[in-house]
Amino acid sequence: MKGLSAYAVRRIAIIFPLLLGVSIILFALISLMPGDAVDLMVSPDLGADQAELRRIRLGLDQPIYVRYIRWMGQLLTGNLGYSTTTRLPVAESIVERLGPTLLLMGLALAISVVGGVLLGTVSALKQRTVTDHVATLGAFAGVCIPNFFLALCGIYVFSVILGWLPSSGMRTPGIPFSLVDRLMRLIMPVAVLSLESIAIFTRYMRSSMLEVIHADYVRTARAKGLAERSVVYKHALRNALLPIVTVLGLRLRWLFGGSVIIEKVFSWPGIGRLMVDSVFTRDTGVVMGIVMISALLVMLGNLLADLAYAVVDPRIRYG
Amino acid sequence: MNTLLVKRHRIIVAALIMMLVFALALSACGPADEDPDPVTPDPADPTDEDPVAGGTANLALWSDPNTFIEYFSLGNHAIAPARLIYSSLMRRDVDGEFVPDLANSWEVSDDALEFTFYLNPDATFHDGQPVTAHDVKFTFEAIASADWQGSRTSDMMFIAGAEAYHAGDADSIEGIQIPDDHTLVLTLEQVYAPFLERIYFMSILPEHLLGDEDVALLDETDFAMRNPVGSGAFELSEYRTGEYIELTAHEDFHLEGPHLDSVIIYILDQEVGIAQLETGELDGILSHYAAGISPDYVDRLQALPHIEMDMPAGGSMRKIVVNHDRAPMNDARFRQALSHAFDREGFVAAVLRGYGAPATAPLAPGNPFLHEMDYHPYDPDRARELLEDMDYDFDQTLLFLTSDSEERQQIAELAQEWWGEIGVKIEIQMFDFPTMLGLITDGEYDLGALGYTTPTGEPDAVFTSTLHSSDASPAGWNFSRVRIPEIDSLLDKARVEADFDARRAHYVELQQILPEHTPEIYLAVGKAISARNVRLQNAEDHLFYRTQNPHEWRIVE
Repeated sequence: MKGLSAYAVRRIAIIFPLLLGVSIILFALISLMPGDAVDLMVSPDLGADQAELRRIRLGLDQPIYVRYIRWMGQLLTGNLGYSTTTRLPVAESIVERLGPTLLLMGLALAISVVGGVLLGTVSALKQRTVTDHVATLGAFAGVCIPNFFLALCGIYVFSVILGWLPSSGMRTPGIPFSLVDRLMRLIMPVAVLSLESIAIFTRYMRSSMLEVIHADYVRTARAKGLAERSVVYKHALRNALLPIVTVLGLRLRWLFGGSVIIEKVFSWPGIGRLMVDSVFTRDTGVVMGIVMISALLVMLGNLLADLAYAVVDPRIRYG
Repeated sequence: MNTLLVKRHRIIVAALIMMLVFALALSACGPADEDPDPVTPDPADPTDEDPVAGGTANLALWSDPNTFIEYFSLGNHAIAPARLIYSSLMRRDVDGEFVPDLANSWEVSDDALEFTFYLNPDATFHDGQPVTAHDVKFTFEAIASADWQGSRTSDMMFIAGAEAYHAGDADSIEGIQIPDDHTLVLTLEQVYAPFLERIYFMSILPEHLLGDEDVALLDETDFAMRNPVGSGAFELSEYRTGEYIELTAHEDFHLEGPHLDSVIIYILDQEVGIAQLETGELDGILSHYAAGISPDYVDRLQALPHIEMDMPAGGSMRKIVVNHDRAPMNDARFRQALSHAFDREGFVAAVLRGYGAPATAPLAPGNPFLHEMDYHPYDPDRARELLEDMDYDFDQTLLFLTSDSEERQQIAELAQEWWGEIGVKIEIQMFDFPTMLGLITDGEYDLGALGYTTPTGEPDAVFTSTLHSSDASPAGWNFSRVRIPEIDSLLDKARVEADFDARRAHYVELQQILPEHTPEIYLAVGKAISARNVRLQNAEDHLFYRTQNPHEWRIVE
């Protein structure tokens, strides 16, 4: 598979200039926003001289290209810089927050894929029956209802009225690690997040499956006398899964970006929330760090998806 | 053909395994989990006569504190936790009287220049080290230092010798003397009447832990970022960013108490926090001053039997800043006209839901320096008269800045409507708060909607910072760029007047000339709204009381 490895190498090589471009555009955009981190620190207790001193210390008094070069220089030595608000190393903050986000989004994605594939397959096989219609309607509902609305409804019903589930937070403070505690707190946010994605995978799977089932080779397999089960699972399903791999690749950025709204509503200490808070406090260091890492992970993820796709579908040839 | 298939299968399997491993690694990559040391707070001293002791208070903050040393705080969120972790020289009781904290007693000399504090010898930091006058001196000198990156330096400059220390001409501040470990004598450069009020509540930092650190880098220490050590009623036991701050009782606290075993501060969204107040999961809100509870939730919460609302008068003042550097804002008649044309009563009723009162000065109702008076009643006719008098150009459109807070948008819209009726056209531009503040600081605006926490005590800070010409933006918080000599001179006189009545007379005079000058358009003072579960006792938010006495809080089931 010489073509494939060469393709992979080319894709990896392109990541660097892409990241460079992203960093320049992002840095420019943030710097062009009026107001910087020190403006927010202004209070009657902080005089103008001290504000200026702080600006100098944070390096915010330098012109934009100097600041960018300084940041880039730090990055090349593996240092993502420091948060202008908490003074903590950016890398530390990101690592702290990335885990919870990946946990949440990873679970939601896994459930959506599995659920979507199952629902889509059933829907396709039982096309035009009640089952199909119910599944389709459910899918549309999942896509149409805004996730924050679902989240707040969920909290109201399951926490306030019924008292079954905790309404926020990733863990209960002060107690040693409890799997039950963690799972209870995962149920609502994961459910809300899955519901919107499941719809997408269901629809794709359904149409893909329908297309495959009516294909010639499936008819051939049936004609050969193979059991229906074998036809569906061994032949139809595997081929119908191909578009799912593509969609999965597209959803990867979702995995690393987190859902700001869900994280905020459920007080989930994730990276989406950190990102938004940092933008509002003009915390350039953190924003740059998060975006660069997310960009890198997304590019790598997409590459993996593309490679997997090529491996799985022998018709694909990367030139 | 067969070999090709087998090869392809192996690659497929390898790729799928890779993806599976990748996916598993990611989804199993939960937060790094070191089991927290189970902190067992000591049970309440059995010799205490409290009928109820122990328990945990669950409070909420709307946002993470960015630091644990309040002087480096951005916004108010770092201040509230600091009040539980640190002690200060004094506190205040319900009536606003100073009561002992680190200082058992204090004396002021007749000439109002010398302050002597006798410190409690039993006070200790959370690590067991005693608190002495050296810690206070260390704290004040750090703040006064030219390398200090935080706030309050200007308050230290009133101490004799502080200017010299700040300039690097002296090794220590002359005006801070320590006759013995538990006695502190502060001498002022000149009379500054509000001095005690400005410094009584300042957190005292431990010299033995921070004394060797570079003052310029104090906000980057592990102490400030993660592991503060104070002498307050509660010590930090666990902090998970974005989730919660767990504080446990300081066993050797020098005042009576604390009665609670622990306090857990959750970082929550306001909606969720209100829901948790309703279910009883949460005992109260720690976000204070302007960042309390929105008036929209009051009715819902008040109806619940287990919730008690606190609405102390010192809340946030809503005002409209006016750029004096531009015409026609620099004409007092124009400012008066705008003031007459704004229906303050209507605003309080509609936007604040009645939880507030029209404002004539940036002081909270109940402030001893507030001069009760009516000025600029809602009178569009008078407003039009003033505009005619000054030959106002009705064709112009002025720029009105507002932030993305819903209330400020409403202020902007009301202004547009009411001022539109007298012929003043404004264009509203909305930005997120830092952007808006940046534009206002740079003077790129005509009018803007802002708020300010109103003091319940000493008015000097708020008046000077917002109205004195020396604090005109971008130097300070005088965003309107007010440069009115009569105002400056009254403020300067009041600041150095030690006698309360004489000082009050100056501030009254100042308030009396405000209508004529209308430096800014004060709209209303909203009430600070906070809510508490009734099981949390002694935690009422009073005018002077807010978070002053965490050691007295109790849980009563």
